Amino acid sequence: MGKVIKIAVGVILLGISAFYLLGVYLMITDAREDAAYKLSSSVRAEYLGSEYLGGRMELDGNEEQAEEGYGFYKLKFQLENVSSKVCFSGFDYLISIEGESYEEVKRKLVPSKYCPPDIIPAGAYGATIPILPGKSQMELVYYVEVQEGVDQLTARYYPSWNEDEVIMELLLKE
Amino acid sequence: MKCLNCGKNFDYEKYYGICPKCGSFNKEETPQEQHQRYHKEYDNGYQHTEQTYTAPPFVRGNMKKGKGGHGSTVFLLISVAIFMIVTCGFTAFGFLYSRGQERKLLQDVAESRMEQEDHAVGEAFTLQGMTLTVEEAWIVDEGQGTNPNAPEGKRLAAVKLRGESDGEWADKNRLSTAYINCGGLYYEQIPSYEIEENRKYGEAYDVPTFESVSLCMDKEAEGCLMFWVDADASDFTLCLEERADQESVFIQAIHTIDIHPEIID
Repeated sequence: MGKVIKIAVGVILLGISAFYLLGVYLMITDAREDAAYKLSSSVRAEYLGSEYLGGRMELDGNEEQAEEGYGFYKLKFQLENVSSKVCFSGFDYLISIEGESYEEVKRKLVPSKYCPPDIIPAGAYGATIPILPGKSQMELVYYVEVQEGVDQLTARYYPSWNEDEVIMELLLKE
Repeated sequence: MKCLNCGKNFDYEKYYGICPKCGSFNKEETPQEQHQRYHKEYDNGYQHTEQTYTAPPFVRGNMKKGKGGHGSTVFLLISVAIFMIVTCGFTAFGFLYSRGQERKLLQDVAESRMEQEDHAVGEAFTLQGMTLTVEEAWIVDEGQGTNPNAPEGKRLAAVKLRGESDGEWADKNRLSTAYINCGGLYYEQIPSYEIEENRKYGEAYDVPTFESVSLCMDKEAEGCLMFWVDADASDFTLCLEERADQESVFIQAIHTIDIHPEIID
């Protein structure tokens, strides 16, 4: 490689580096503002307890029947959005419930009030779906059909898109 | 001896013929002197032919090229090293710093204290420099029974709000998105643009909306915040957030007003 080419390439690389440094400097000085812009909701869930409902229960006006060898539990959670940004996450799938094996939890039922309406008229979308505003709390109820004899389940959720998964042990009370 | 290239006088024995000034290698005798010496030593009278020997021309640049080429290579290597450090190292640093700032801000927000201030309908209260009063509230639409466009199980409620401010845009007299607590769940207000674009709520019911920026340029404003409320709910709580920091990140207070909407036939 010729001397001139070497020097030219070196100067170009140094020039790019200088611009890059300038960009990094601007990124650092604007980091607080960017962080404010990127701030997302952060929901903490606390398990409040369970209630055994037996093999039959009513939900949203419909009677639900558990399979043989299974029973329904009502699980209560307290949700708190510790951030100042509103949480739009669907509360129906916010927390996943599972047992040690696939058979232990047959299904999870969510009251319709936590779910978006099946048909949302134009102009009514955002205002008909439940939210959790910043620095607010709400109660969340799930119903799970659990195999008899199971006394503990596992709940998993993500507080926000950039936080690690939280795992909770749920003790079931008869 | 005198250097054949640059003319510098130097000690041949000391420098082994290499000029200390220009680095040229000099033989002790010129080609002509060497020719004469060969004649003296080996000429025995036999015939021989004379051939003219011409030394290759001394090219100064060739020696400089070697020395200068090494310098440019070093310069290039240093440039590449700086480029790699800057792009890789500072990218990682910038990314980690940004993430750190995001986590720190979230922690600050989570640890920040917030007041809850309860007000009644008709009571004036201050919020971010504005003075607001919830004047009245009513059910605008009974839902699908009277309006097929209404969501199932919902009624349309309007909350009339009156406000005063200094009317200065710079003072950020901007209202955050209002929401209600109805039956233990929170719902946001229907956005003004949806009300205006769909023309199903606002103009149809002759309800002027209260814009979030209504008090940014006007000293007085009046209008309605509109919500879909549960059809079986007789009351709900209006919540207005107070955010006064530069980026509107920290909630300083939540102003709540219990609403019992009138039903208008």
